[in-house]
Amino acid sequence: MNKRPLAVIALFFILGIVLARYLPESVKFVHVLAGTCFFIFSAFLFTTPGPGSGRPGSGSGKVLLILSVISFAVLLCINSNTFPKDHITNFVGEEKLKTSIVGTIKSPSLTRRPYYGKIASTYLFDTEAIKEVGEWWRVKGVTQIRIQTEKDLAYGDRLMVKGTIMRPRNDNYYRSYLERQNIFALINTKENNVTLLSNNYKSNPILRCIYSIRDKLKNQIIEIMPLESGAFLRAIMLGDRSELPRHIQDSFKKSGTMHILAISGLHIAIIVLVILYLFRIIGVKREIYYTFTIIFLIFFALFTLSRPSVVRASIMACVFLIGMLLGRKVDVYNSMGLAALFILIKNPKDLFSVGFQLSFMAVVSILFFVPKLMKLVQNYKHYYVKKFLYIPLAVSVSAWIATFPLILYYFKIITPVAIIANLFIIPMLSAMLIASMAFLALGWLPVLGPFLVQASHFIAHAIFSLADFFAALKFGHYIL
Amino acid sequence: MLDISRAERYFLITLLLSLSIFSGASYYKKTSPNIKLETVEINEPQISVNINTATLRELESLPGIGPVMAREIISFRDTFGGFKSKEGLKDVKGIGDKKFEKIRDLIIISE
Repeated sequence: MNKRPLAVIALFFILGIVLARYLPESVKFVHVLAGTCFFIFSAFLFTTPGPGSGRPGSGSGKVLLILSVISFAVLLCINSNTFPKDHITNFVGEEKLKTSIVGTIKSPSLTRRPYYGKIASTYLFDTEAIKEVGEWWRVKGVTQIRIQTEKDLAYGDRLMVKGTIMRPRNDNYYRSYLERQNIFALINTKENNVTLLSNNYKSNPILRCIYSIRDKLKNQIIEIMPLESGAFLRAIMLGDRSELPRHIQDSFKKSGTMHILAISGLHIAIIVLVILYLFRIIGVKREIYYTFTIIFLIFFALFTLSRPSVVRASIMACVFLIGMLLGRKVDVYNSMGLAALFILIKNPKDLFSVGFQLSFMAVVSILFFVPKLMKLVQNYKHYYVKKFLYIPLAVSVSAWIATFPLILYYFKIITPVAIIANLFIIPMLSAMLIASMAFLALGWLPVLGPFLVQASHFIAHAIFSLADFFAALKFGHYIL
Repeated sequence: MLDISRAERYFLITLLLSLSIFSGASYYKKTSPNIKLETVEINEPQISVNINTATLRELESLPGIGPVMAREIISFRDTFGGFKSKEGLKDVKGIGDKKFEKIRDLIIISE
Protein backbone atom coordinates (compact mmCIF):
# COMPACT_ATOMS: atom_id res chain seq x y z
CA MET A 1 0.00 0.00 0.00
CA ASN A 2 2.90 2.32 0.72
CA LYS A 3 3.52 3.69 -2.73
CA ARG A 4 -0.07 3.87 -3.87
CA PRO A 5 -1.20 7.26 -2.60
CA LEU A 6 -4.09 7.65 -5.05
CA ALA A 7 -5.50 4.25 -4.13
CA VAL A 8 -5.23 5.15 -0.41
CA ILE A 9 -6.87 8.56 -0.95
CA ALA A 10 -9.66 6.92 -2.98
CA LEU A 11 -10.30 4.41 -0.19
CA PHE A 12 -10.64 7.16 2.43
CA PHE A 13 -12.77 9.20 0.06
CA ILE A 14 -15.10 6.19 -0.27
CA LEU A 15 -15.15 5.89 3.53
CA GLY A 16 -16.25 9.55 3.68
CA ILE A 17 -19.13 8.90 1.25
CA VAL A 18 -20.29 5.91 3.30
CA LEU A 19 -20.05 7.99 6.51
CA ALA A 20 -22.14 10.75 4.91
CA ARG A 21 -24.91 8.24 4.31
CA TYR A 22 -25.24 7.54 8.03
CA LEU A 23 -24.64 11.07 9.25
CA PRO A 24 -27.31 12.32 11.70
CA GLU A 25 -29.50 15.11 10.34
CA SER A 26 -28.29 17.45 13.09
CA VAL A 27 -24.90 17.65 11.35
CA LYS A 28 -25.19 20.50 8.87
CA PHE A 29 -23.09 21.54 5.88
CA VAL A 30 -21.48 24.43 7.79
CA HIS A 31 -20.28 22.07 10.56
CA VAL A 32 -18.62 19.78 8.03
CA LEU A 33 -17.18 22.74 6.10
CA ALA A 34 -15.66 24.13 9.32
CA GLY A 35 -14.26 20.67 10.16
CA THR A 36 -12.78 20.25 6.67
CA CYS A 37 -11.12 23.67 6.78
CA PHE A 38 -9.74 22.90 10.26
CA PHE A 39 -8.24 19.60 9.10
CA ILE A 40 -6.80 21.16 5.93
CA PHE A 41 -5.14 24.06 7.81
CA SER A 42 -3.81 21.71 10.50
CA ALA A 43 -2.42 19.41 7.80
CA PHE A 44 -0.78 22.50 6.24
CA LEU A 45 0.80 23.47 9.58
CA PHE A 46 2.13 19.97 10.09
CA THR A 47 3.56 19.91 6.57
CA THR A 48 5.33 23.29 6.78
CA PRO A 49 8.64 23.12 8.68
CA GLY A 50 9.19 25.74 11.37
CA PRO A 51 9.21 26.33 15.11
CA GLY A 52 6.16 25.02 16.88
CA SER A 53 5.00 22.90 13.95
CA GLY A 54 5.09 19.15 13.71
CA ARG A 55 7.96 17.35 12.11
CA PRO A 56 7.44 17.17 8.35
CA GLY A 57 6.48 13.70 7.32
CA SER A 58 5.25 12.93 10.81
CA GLY A 59 2.28 10.64 11.41
CA SER A 60 0.06 13.51 12.61
CA GLY A 61 0.36 15.30 9.26
CA LYS A 62 -0.72 12.16 7.40
CA VAL A 63 -3.64 11.52 9.73
CA LEU A 64 -4.81 15.13 9.31
CA LEU A 65 -4.57 14.83 5.53
CA ILE A 66 -6.62 11.64 5.59
CA LEU A 67 -9.20 13.32 7.87
CA SER A 68 -9.34 16.21 5.37
CA VAL A 69 -10.08 13.76 2.55
CA ILE A 70 -12.84 12.00 4.54
CA SER A 71 -14.36 15.30 5.65
CA PHE A 72 -14.25 16.65 2.08
CA ALA A 73 -16.10 13.56 0.82
CA VAL A 74 -18.85 14.15 3.42
CA LEU A 75 -19.02 17.79 2.31
CA LEU A 76 -19.49 16.81 -1.34
CA CYS A 77 -22.21 14.32 -0.44
CA ILE A 78 -24.22 16.85 1.57
CA ASN A 79 -23.86 19.36 -1.26
CA SER A 80 -24.96 16.86 -3.90
CA ASN A 81 -28.09 16.04 -1.86
CA THR A 82 -29.08 19.67 -1.41
CA PHE A 83 -31.49 21.22 -3.88
CA PRO A 84 -32.45 24.85 -4.37
CA LYS A 85 -36.01 26.09 -3.90
CA ASP A 86 -36.55 26.22 -7.64
CA HIS A 87 -35.52 22.60 -8.20
CA ILE A 88 -37.92 20.41 -10.16
CA THR A 89 -38.40 18.11 -7.10
CA ASN A 90 -40.32 20.91 -5.41
CA PHE A 91 -42.83 21.00 -8.27
CA VAL A 92 -43.58 17.32 -8.82
CA GLY A 93 -45.01 14.77 -6.42
CA GLU A 94 -46.00 11.13 -6.25
CA GLU A 95 -49.22 11.81 -8.17
CA LYS A 96 -49.22 12.20 -11.94
CA LEU A 97 -49.60 15.83 -12.93
CA LYS A 98 -50.75 16.91 -16.39
CA THR A 99 -48.67 19.90 -17.35
CA SER A 100 -46.12 21.34 -19.77
CA ILE A 101 -42.40 21.84 -19.34
CA VAL A 102 -39.79 23.66 -21.37
CA GLY A 103 -36.17 22.61 -21.53
CA THR A 104 -33.35 21.26 -23.63
CA ILE A 105 -32.41 17.71 -24.55
CA LYS A 106 -29.01 16.97 -23.05
CA SER A 107 -28.37 13.40 -24.16
CA PRO A 108 -28.83 11.24 -27.21
CA SER A 109 -31.65 8.69 -27.08
CA LEU A 110 -30.94 6.58 -23.95
CA THR A 111 -33.35 3.77 -24.65
CA ARG A 112 -35.57 2.86 -27.56
CA ARG A 113 -38.18 0.23 -26.88
CA PRO A 114 -41.85 -0.53 -27.54
CA TYR A 115 -44.15 1.22 -25.08
CA TYR A 116 -47.88 0.49 -25.27
CA GLY A 117 -47.47 -0.87 -28.81
CA LYS A 118 -45.41 2.02 -30.17
CA ILE A 119 -41.70 2.77 -30.21
CA ALA A 120 -40.74 5.20 -27.44
CA SER A 121 -37.37 6.82 -26.81
CA THR A 122 -36.09 8.31 -23.58
CA TYR A 123 -33.86 11.37 -23.22
CA LEU A 124 -32.38 13.46 -20.44
CA PHE A 125 -34.02 16.86 -20.39
CA ASP A 126 -32.51 19.91 -18.75
CA THR A 127 -35.67 21.53 -17.40
CA GLU A 128 -35.98 25.29 -17.64
CA ALA A 129 -39.62 26.06 -16.83
CA ILE A 130 -42.77 24.27 -15.71
CA LYS A 131 -46.35 25.40 -16.12
CA GLU A 132 -48.35 25.43 -12.92
CA VAL A 133 -51.64 27.19 -12.24
CA GLY A 134 -51.48 28.90 -15.61
CA GLU A 135 -48.02 30.42 -15.05
CA TRP A 136 -44.58 29.37 -16.21
CA TRP A 137 -42.16 28.93 -13.27
CA ARG A 138 -38.40 28.94 -13.68
CA VAL A 139 -36.98 25.57 -12.51
CA LYS A 140 -33.73 23.64 -12.46
CA GLY A 141 -32.99 19.93 -12.59
CA VAL A 142 -33.03 17.01 -14.95
CA THR A 143 -36.19 15.27 -16.10
CA GLN A 144 -36.24 12.05 -18.05
CA ILE A 145 -38.67 12.31 -20.95
CA ARG A 146 -40.20 9.36 -22.74
CA ILE A 147 -41.66 10.23 -26.13
CA GLN A 148 -43.68 7.82 -28.25
CA THR A 149 -42.12 8.49 -31.62
CA GLU A 150 -40.09 6.79 -34.30
CA LYS A 151 -38.28 10.08 -34.95
CA ASP A 152 -35.01 10.97 -33.27
CA LEU A 153 -34.69 14.18 -31.31
CA ALA A 154 -31.22 15.65 -31.07
CA TYR A 155 -29.01 16.89 -28.25
CA GLY A 156 -29.58 20.65 -27.93
CA ASP A 157 -33.21 20.61 -29.12
CA ARG A 158 -35.17 23.10 -27.01
CA LEU A 159 -38.67 21.72 -26.59
CA MET A 160 -42.02 22.44 -25.04
CA VAL A 161 -43.37 19.11 -23.82
CA LYS A 162 -46.93 18.53 -22.70
CA GLY A 163 -47.58 15.33 -20.76
CA THR A 164 -47.90 13.63 -17.39
CA ILE A 165 -45.04 14.42 -15.05
CA MET A 166 -44.27 12.66 -11.79
CA ARG A 167 -41.42 11.51 -9.55
CA PRO A 168 -40.01 8.06 -10.40
CA ARG A 169 -42.09 5.33 -8.76
CA ASN A 170 -41.00 4.69 -5.21
CA ASP A 171 -39.93 1.06 -5.20
CA ASN A 172 -36.71 -0.37 -3.79
CA TYR A 173 -34.73 0.13 -6.90
CA TYR A 174 -36.09 2.43 -9.60
CA ARG A 175 -36.27 5.77 -7.79
CA SER A 176 -32.85 5.46 -6.18
CA TYR A 177 -31.41 4.22 -9.50
CA LEU A 178 -32.59 7.37 -11.28
CA GLU A 179 -31.84 9.75 -8.42
CA ARG A 180 -28.26 8.50 -8.32
CA GLN A 181 -28.06 9.87 -11.86
CA ASN A 182 -29.65 13.13 -10.64
CA ILE A 183 -32.95 12.43 -12.43
CA PHE A 184 -35.81 13.53 -10.20
CA ALA A 185 -38.83 13.66 -12.51
CA LEU A 186 -40.27 11.65 -15.39
CA ILE A 187 -42.55 12.86 -18.12
CA ASN A 188 -44.40 10.63 -20.58
CA THR A 189 -45.74 12.09 -23.76
CA LYS A 190 -46.58 11.55 -27.42
CA GLU A 191 -45.01 13.02 -30.51
CA ASN A 192 -47.80 15.52 -31.17
CA ASN A 193 -47.43 16.98 -27.67
CA VAL A 194 -43.83 17.96 -28.32
CA THR A 195 -43.12 21.32 -29.91
CA LEU A 196 -39.64 22.13 -31.12
CA LEU A 197 -38.78 25.69 -30.04
CA SER A 198 -35.19 25.85 -31.35
CA ASN A 199 -32.16 23.74 -32.27
CA ASN A 200 -28.67 23.70 -30.77
CA TYR A 201 -29.80 25.65 -27.72
CA LYS A 202 -26.99 26.14 -25.17
CA SER A 203 -25.30 23.00 -26.50
CA ASN A 204 -21.68 21.98 -26.42
CA PRO A 205 -20.41 21.64 -30.03
CA ILE A 206 -18.10 18.72 -29.19
CA LEU A 207 -20.88 16.74 -27.51
CA ARG A 208 -23.23 17.67 -30.35
CA CYS A 209 -20.78 16.21 -32.84
CA ILE A 210 -20.17 13.03 -30.77
CA TYR A 211 -23.89 12.41 -30.20
CA SER A 212 -24.73 12.99 -33.85
CA ILE A 213 -22.14 10.33 -34.82
CA ARG A 214 -23.72 8.04 -32.22
CA ASP A 215 -27.19 8.60 -33.71
CA LYS A 216 -25.90 7.97 -37.23
CA LEU A 217 -24.25 4.69 -36.18
CA LYS A 218 -27.38 3.67 -34.31
CA ASN A 219 -29.50 4.27 -37.41
CA GLN A 220 -26.96 2.44 -39.57
CA ILE A 221 -27.26 -0.59 -37.26
CA ILE A 222 -31.08 -0.42 -37.17
CA GLU A 223 -31.31 -0.17 -40.97
CA ILE A 224 -28.82 -2.85 -41.94
CA MET A 225 -28.56 -5.42 -39.15
CA PRO A 226 -31.30 -7.96 -38.43
CA LEU A 227 -33.31 -7.14 -35.29
CA GLU A 228 -31.71 -9.32 -32.57
CA SER A 229 -28.12 -9.01 -33.82
CA GLY A 230 -28.62 -5.27 -34.29
CA ALA A 231 -29.95 -4.89 -30.76
CA PHE A 232 -26.96 -6.88 -29.45
CA LEU A 233 -24.52 -4.77 -31.45
CA ARG A 234 -26.10 -1.59 -30.07
CA ALA A 235 -25.68 -2.97 -26.56
CA ILE A 236 -21.98 -3.76 -26.91
CA MET A 237 -21.01 -0.72 -29.01
CA LEU A 238 -23.35 2.03 -27.79
CA GLY A 239 -24.34 0.74 -24.35
CA ASP A 240 -28.07 0.64 -25.21
CA ARG A 241 -29.57 -2.81 -24.67
CA SER A 242 -33.18 -1.64 -24.48
CA GLU A 243 -34.27 -3.43 -27.66
CA LEU A 244 -32.49 -6.71 -26.94
CA PRO A 245 -35.30 -9.28 -26.47
CA ARG A 246 -36.04 -10.28 -22.89
CA HIS A 247 -35.34 -14.02 -23.48
CA ILE A 248 -31.81 -13.24 -24.73
CA GLN A 249 -31.13 -10.99 -21.74
CA ASP A 250 -32.39 -13.81 -19.51
CA SER A 251 -29.95 -16.28 -21.07
CA PHE A 252 -27.05 -13.88 -20.45
CA LYS A 253 -28.24 -13.36 -16.88
CA LYS A 254 -28.57 -17.08 -16.12
CA SER A 255 -25.23 -17.94 -17.74
CA GLY A 256 -23.47 -15.23 -15.71
CA THR A 257 -22.37 -13.38 -18.84
CA MET A 258 -24.64 -10.33 -18.53
CA HIS A 259 -21.53 -8.17 -18.07
CA ILE A 260 -20.73 -8.38 -21.79
CA LEU A 261 -23.86 -6.29 -22.46
CA ALA A 262 -22.48 -3.40 -20.42
CA ILE A 263 -19.51 -1.62 -21.95
CA SER A 264 -16.60 -2.13 -19.59
CA GLY A 265 -12.86 -2.68 -19.35
CA LEU A 266 -13.14 -5.81 -21.47
CA HIS A 267 -14.64 -3.90 -24.42
CA ILE A 268 -12.22 -1.00 -24.00
CA ALA A 269 -9.24 -3.40 -23.86
CA ILE A 270 -10.32 -5.17 -27.05
CA ILE A 271 -11.00 -1.90 -28.90
CA VAL A 272 -7.69 -0.36 -27.78
CA LEU A 273 -5.73 -3.49 -28.75
CA VAL A 274 -7.32 -3.48 -32.23
CA ILE A 275 -6.45 0.22 -32.72
CA LEU A 276 -2.87 -0.19 -31.48
CA TYR A 277 -2.39 -3.28 -33.64
CA LEU A 278 -3.72 -1.52 -36.76
CA PHE A 279 -1.42 1.46 -36.24
CA ARG A 280 1.55 -0.84 -35.73
CA ILE A 281 0.80 -2.61 -39.00
CA ILE A 282 0.57 0.72 -40.84
CA GLY A 283 3.88 1.72 -39.28
CA VAL A 284 2.86 4.98 -37.62
CA LYS A 285 5.19 6.36 -34.92
CA ARG A 286 4.45 5.07 -31.43
CA GLU A 287 4.05 8.58 -29.94
CA ILE A 288 1.46 9.48 -32.56
CA TYR A 289 -0.72 6.41 -32.22
CA TYR A 290 -0.59 6.41 -28.43
CA THR A 291 -1.72 10.04 -28.41
CA PHE A 292 -4.44 9.24 -30.94
CA THR A 293 -5.64 6.30 -28.81
CA ILE A 294 -5.82 8.50 -25.68
CA ILE A 295 -7.93 11.08 -27.54
CA PHE A 296 -10.06 8.27 -28.98
CA LEU A 297 -10.69 6.89 -25.47
CA ILE A 298 -11.90 10.27 -24.20
CA PHE A 299 -14.29 10.48 -27.17
CA PHE A 300 -15.40 6.88 -26.67
CA ALA A 301 -16.25 7.52 -22.99
CA LEU A 302 -18.42 10.50 -24.04
CA PHE A 303 -19.84 8.49 -26.96
CA THR A 304 -21.06 5.78 -24.56
CA LEU A 305 -22.57 8.39 -22.21
CA SER A 306 -19.78 8.36 -19.58
CA ARG A 307 -21.10 5.41 -17.57
CA PRO A 308 -18.91 4.57 -14.51
CA SER A 309 -17.50 1.31 -15.95
CA VAL A 310 -16.48 3.02 -19.22
CA VAL A 311 -14.98 6.02 -17.44
CA ARG A 312 -13.05 3.71 -15.10
CA ALA A 313 -11.66 1.62 -17.94
CA SER A 314 -10.89 4.66 -20.12
CA ILE A 315 -9.02 6.49 -17.34
CA MET A 316 -7.01 3.38 -16.48
CA ALA A 317 -6.15 2.80 -20.14
CA CYS A 318 -5.23 6.49 -20.64
CA VAL A 319 -2.97 6.48 -17.55
CA PHE A 320 -1.32 3.28 -18.81
CA LEU A 321 -0.74 4.79 -22.28
CA ILE A 322 0.56 8.09 -20.83
CA GLY A 323 2.94 6.05 -18.64
CA MET A 324 4.17 4.18 -21.73
CA LEU A 325 4.62 7.48 -23.59
CA LEU A 326 6.65 8.97 -20.74
CA GLY A 327 8.54 5.74 -20.19
CA ARG A 328 7.30 5.46 -16.60
CA LYS A 329 5.99 2.40 -14.82
CA VAL A 330 2.32 2.72 -14.01
CA ASP A 331 0.88 1.28 -10.84
CA VAL A 332 -2.48 -0.17 -11.75
CA TYR A 333 -3.95 0.35 -8.25
CA ASN A 334 -3.01 4.03 -8.42
CA SER A 335 -4.63 4.45 -11.84
CA MET A 336 -7.74 2.73 -10.45
CA GLY A 337 -7.69 5.12 -7.47
CA LEU A 338 -7.51 8.06 -9.87
CA ALA A 339 -10.46 6.68 -11.86
CA ALA A 340 -12.52 6.18 -8.69
CA LEU A 341 -11.73 9.71 -7.45
CA PHE A 342 -12.64 11.22 -10.83
CA ILE A 343 -16.01 9.43 -10.94
CA LEU A 344 -16.89 10.04 -7.28
CA ILE A 345 -15.91 13.72 -7.11
CA LYS A 346 -18.11 14.27 -10.17
CA ASN A 347 -21.00 12.38 -8.58
CA PRO A 348 -20.51 10.78 -5.11
CA LYS A 349 -23.80 8.86 -5.52
CA ASP A 350 -22.14 6.68 -8.17
CA LEU A 351 -20.54 4.73 -5.30
CA PHE A 352 -23.90 3.05 -4.75
CA SER A 353 -24.49 2.20 -8.41
CA VAL A 354 -24.27 -1.47 -9.34
CA GLY A 355 -22.14 -0.68 -12.39
CA PHE A 356 -19.51 1.14 -10.32
CA GLN A 357 -19.35 -1.58 -7.67
CA LEU A 358 -19.17 -4.50 -10.11
CA SER A 359 -16.63 -2.76 -12.31
CA PHE A 360 -14.20 -1.87 -9.52
CA MET A 361 -14.66 -5.11 -7.55
CA ALA A 362 -13.98 -7.24 -10.63
CA VAL A 363 -10.76 -5.37 -11.41
CA VAL A 364 -9.49 -5.37 -7.81
CA SER A 365 -10.18 -9.07 -7.57
CA ILE A 366 -8.48 -9.86 -10.89
CA LEU A 367 -5.41 -7.84 -9.87
CA PHE A 368 -5.27 -9.50 -6.49
CA PHE A 369 -6.14 -13.15 -7.22
CA VAL A 370 -4.75 -13.81 -10.72
CA PRO A 371 -1.05 -13.67 -9.67
CA LYS A 372 -1.84 -15.90 -6.69
CA LEU A 373 -3.73 -18.44 -8.80
CA MET A 374 -1.03 -18.42 -11.48
CA LYS A 375 1.57 -19.23 -8.82
CA LEU A 376 -0.20 -22.56 -8.35
CA VAL A 377 0.67 -23.54 -11.94
CA GLN A 378 4.00 -21.74 -12.25
CA ASN A 379 5.87 -25.01 -12.74
CA TYR A 380 3.59 -26.11 -15.52
CA LYS A 381 5.62 -25.98 -18.73
CA HIS A 382 3.07 -26.13 -21.54
CA TYR A 383 3.08 -22.47 -22.75
CA TYR A 384 -0.12 -22.53 -24.85
CA VAL A 385 -2.22 -24.33 -22.23
CA LYS A 386 -1.01 -21.78 -19.69
CA LYS A 387 -1.71 -18.81 -21.97
CA PHE A 388 -5.02 -19.87 -23.47
CA LEU A 389 -6.53 -21.91 -20.64
CA TYR A 390 -5.02 -21.18 -17.23
CA ILE A 391 -4.79 -17.39 -17.49
CA PRO A 392 -8.38 -16.94 -18.80
CA LEU A 393 -9.58 -19.42 -16.17
CA ALA A 394 -7.76 -17.52 -13.41
CA VAL A 395 -9.28 -14.23 -14.64
CA SER A 396 -12.74 -15.75 -14.81
CA VAL A 397 -12.50 -17.29 -11.33
CA SER A 398 -11.09 -14.07 -9.82
CA ALA A 399 -13.78 -11.86 -11.35
CA TRP A 400 -16.50 -14.26 -10.23
CA ILE A 401 -15.23 -14.45 -6.62
CA ALA A 402 -15.63 -10.70 -6.17
CA THR A 403 -18.78 -10.13 -8.17
CA PHE A 404 -21.00 -13.05 -7.12
CA PRO A 405 -21.89 -11.61 -3.67
CA LEU A 406 -22.93 -8.33 -5.34
CA ILE A 407 -24.89 -10.14 -8.07
CA LEU A 408 -26.58 -12.27 -5.41
CA TYR A 409 -27.51 -9.15 -3.40
CA TYR A 410 -28.77 -7.04 -6.32
CA PHE A 411 -30.13 -9.60 -8.79
CA LYS A 412 -30.94 -12.53 -6.45
CA ILE A 413 -29.11 -15.02 -8.63
CA ILE A 414 -25.94 -17.03 -8.24
CA THR A 415 -24.24 -18.34 -11.38
CA PRO A 416 -21.32 -20.77 -10.87
CA VAL A 417 -21.57 -21.64 -14.57
CA ALA A 418 -20.21 -18.14 -15.31
CA ILE A 419 -16.64 -19.34 -14.65
CA ILE A 420 -16.82 -21.75 -17.62
CA ALA A 421 -19.28 -19.75 -19.77
CA ASN A 422 -16.98 -16.72 -19.83
CA LEU A 423 -14.11 -18.84 -21.18
CA PHE A 424 -16.17 -19.44 -24.33
CA ILE A 425 -18.19 -16.26 -24.64
CA ILE A 426 -15.39 -13.70 -24.13
CA PRO A 427 -13.33 -14.84 -27.16
CA MET A 428 -16.56 -14.78 -29.19
CA LEU A 429 -17.27 -11.26 -27.94
CA SER A 430 -13.79 -10.18 -29.06
CA ALA A 431 -14.53 -11.54 -32.55
CA MET A 432 -17.92 -9.81 -32.52
CA LEU A 433 -16.39 -6.47 -31.51
CA ILE A 434 -13.74 -6.69 -34.24
CA ALA A 435 -16.35 -7.61 -36.88
CA SER A 436 -18.66 -4.84 -35.62
CA MET A 437 -15.93 -2.20 -35.69
CA ALA A 438 -15.09 -3.24 -39.24
CA PHE A 439 -18.80 -3.15 -40.13
CA LEU A 440 -19.29 0.34 -38.67
CA ALA A 441 -16.21 1.65 -40.49
CA LEU A 442 -16.53 -0.19 -43.81
CA GLY A 443 -20.21 -1.16 -43.89
CA TRP A 444 -20.80 1.18 -46.85
CA LEU A 445 -18.52 -0.82 -49.18
CA PRO A 446 -20.43 -2.87 -51.76
CA VAL A 447 -19.13 -6.42 -51.18
CA LEU A 448 -17.35 -6.16 -47.87
CA GLY A 449 -20.30 -4.36 -46.20
CA PRO A 450 -22.87 -7.18 -46.59
CA PHE A 451 -20.17 -9.76 -45.73
CA LEU A 452 -19.39 -7.95 -42.44
CA VAL A 453 -23.12 -7.73 -41.65
CA GLN A 454 -23.44 -11.47 -42.14
CA ALA A 455 -20.28 -12.14 -40.10
CA SER A 456 -21.52 -10.00 -37.17
CA HIS A 457 -24.96 -11.61 -37.44
CA PHE A 458 -23.43 -15.11 -37.39
CA ILE A 459 -21.17 -14.42 -34.40
CA ALA A 460 -24.02 -12.73 -32.48
CA HIS A 461 -26.19 -15.83 -32.94
CA ALA A 462 -23.32 -18.11 -31.92
CA ILE A 463 -23.04 -16.04 -28.70
CA PHE A 464 -26.82 -16.28 -28.11
CA SER A 465 -26.66 -20.08 -28.59
CA LEU A 466 -23.75 -20.39 -26.17
CA ALA A 467 -25.56 -18.24 -23.60
CA ASP A 468 -28.72 -20.39 -24.05
CA PHE A 469 -26.68 -23.56 -23.62
CA PHE A 470 -24.97 -22.43 -20.41
CA ALA A 471 -28.20 -20.95 -19.03
CA ALA A 472 -29.94 -24.31 -19.50
CA LEU A 473 -27.23 -26.35 -17.73
CA LYS A 474 -28.36 -28.12 -14.59
CA PHE A 475 -26.84 -26.59 -11.42
CA GLY A 476 -25.49 -23.75 -13.56
CA HIS A 477 -27.46 -21.07 -11.76
CA TYR A 478 -29.68 -20.69 -8.73
CA ILE A 479 -32.39 -18.06 -8.51
CA LEU A 480 -33.26 -16.99 -4.97
CA MET B 1 -0.06 4.65 4.96
CA LEU B 2 -0.02 7.79 2.81
CA ASP B 3 3.54 7.96 1.58
CA ILE B 4 3.83 11.20 -0.38
CA SER B 5 6.49 13.90 -0.62
CA ARG B 6 6.10 17.38 0.89
CA ALA B 7 5.42 18.89 -2.53
CA GLU B 8 2.68 16.32 -3.15
CA ARG B 9 1.20 17.12 0.26
CA TYR B 10 1.06 20.82 -0.61
CA PHE B 11 -0.59 19.92 -3.88
CA LEU B 12 -3.19 17.77 -2.13
CA ILE B 13 -3.83 20.48 0.51
CA THR B 14 -4.29 23.15 -2.18
CA LEU B 15 -6.58 20.88 -4.18
CA LEU B 16 -8.72 19.98 -1.16
CA LEU B 17 -8.95 23.61 -0.08
CA SER B 18 -9.95 24.79 -3.56
CA LEU B 19 -12.55 22.05 -3.96
CA SER B 20 -13.95 22.75 -0.46
CA ILE B 21 -14.28 26.46 -1.25
CA PHE B 22 -15.93 25.58 -4.56
CA SER B 23 -18.29 23.19 -2.79
CA GLY B 24 -19.13 25.83 -0.16
CA ALA B 25 -19.91 28.39 -2.86
CA SER B 26 -22.09 25.91 -4.70
CA TYR B 27 -23.97 25.08 -1.47
CA TYR B 28 -24.47 28.77 -0.69
CA LYS B 29 -25.79 29.36 -4.22
CA LYS B 30 -28.34 26.60 -3.73
CA THR B 31 -29.55 27.60 -0.27
CA SER B 32 -29.20 31.37 -0.46
CA PRO B 33 -32.28 33.18 0.90
CA ASN B 34 -32.08 35.39 -2.20
CA ILE B 35 -33.32 32.55 -4.36
CA LYS B 36 -36.97 33.28 -5.05
CA LEU B 37 -39.44 31.36 -7.10
CA GLU B 38 -40.04 33.43 -10.18
CA THR B 39 -42.27 33.21 -13.18
CA VAL B 40 -40.89 33.46 -16.70
CA GLU B 41 -42.30 34.53 -19.98
CA ILE B 42 -42.46 31.60 -22.36
CA ASN B 43 -43.81 32.29 -25.80
CA GLU B 44 -46.02 29.32 -26.35
CA PRO B 45 -46.33 28.64 -30.05
CA GLN B 46 -49.94 29.35 -30.92
CA ILE B 47 -51.30 26.71 -33.20
CA SER B 48 -54.55 27.64 -34.84
CA VAL B 49 -57.08 24.85 -35.02
CA ASN B 50 -59.45 24.83 -37.96
CA ILE B 51 -62.68 23.73 -36.30
CA ASN B 52 -64.17 22.62 -39.63
CA THR B 53 -61.40 20.12 -40.36
CA ALA B 54 -59.69 19.42 -37.00
CA THR B 55 -59.36 15.88 -35.74
CA LEU B 56 -60.47 14.78 -32.30
CA ARG B 57 -56.88 15.06 -31.01
CA GLU B 58 -56.40 18.57 -32.45
CA LEU B 59 -59.61 19.76 -30.82
CA GLU B 60 -58.49 18.24 -27.51
CA SER B 61 -55.36 20.40 -27.62
CA LEU B 62 -57.57 23.51 -27.09
CA PRO B 63 -57.82 24.73 -23.49
CA GLY B 64 -60.98 23.54 -21.76
CA ILE B 65 -61.82 21.03 -24.47
CA GLY B 66 -61.64 17.41 -23.35
CA PRO B 67 -62.42 14.24 -25.30
CA VAL B 68 -66.18 14.46 -24.63
CA MET B 69 -66.45 18.09 -25.77
CA ALA B 70 -64.26 17.37 -28.81
CA ARG B 71 -66.62 14.56 -29.82
CA GLU B 72 -69.60 16.93 -29.37
CA ILE B 73 -67.95 19.46 -31.70
CA ILE B 74 -67.28 16.83 -34.38
CA SER B 75 -70.80 15.44 -34.11
CA PHE B 76 -72.25 19.00 -34.39
CA ARG B 77 -70.02 19.72 -37.41
CA ASP B 78 -71.05 16.48 -39.14
CA THR B 79 -74.76 17.06 -38.48
CA PHE B 80 -74.92 20.72 -39.60
CA GLY B 81 -72.23 20.66 -42.31
CA GLY B 82 -69.62 22.74 -40.53
CA PHE B 83 -69.37 26.12 -38.84
CA LYS B 84 -70.01 29.36 -40.73
CA SER B 85 -68.38 31.58 -38.11
CA LYS B 86 -66.28 31.21 -34.96
CA GLU B 87 -69.32 32.18 -32.87
CA GLY B 88 -71.15 29.15 -34.26
CA LEU B 89 -69.11 27.08 -31.85
CA LYS B 90 -71.25 28.49 -29.02
CA ASP B 91 -74.19 26.48 -30.40
CA VAL B 92 -72.41 23.28 -29.37
CA LYS B 93 -73.79 21.91 -26.12
CA GLY B 94 -71.40 22.74 -23.25
CA ILE B 95 -69.61 25.70 -24.85
CA GLY B 96 -70.66 28.89 -23.18
CA ASP B 97 -69.35 32.47 -23.53
CA LYS B 98 -66.58 31.94 -20.98
CA LYS B 99 -65.16 28.81 -22.62
CA PHE B 100 -65.53 30.39 -26.08
CA GLU B 101 -63.52 33.48 -25.07
CA LYS B 102 -60.67 31.22 -23.95
CA ILE B 103 -60.36 29.58 -27.34
CA ARG B 104 -61.52 32.36 -29.69
CA ASP B 105 -57.98 33.35 -30.73
CA LEU B 106 -56.85 29.79 -31.16
CA ILE B 107 -59.43 28.74 -33.72
CA ILE B 108 -59.93 29.52 -37.40
CA ILE B 109 -62.69 28.85 -39.86
CA SER B 110 -62.29 27.65 -43.41
CA GLU B 111 -64.14 25.36 -45.79
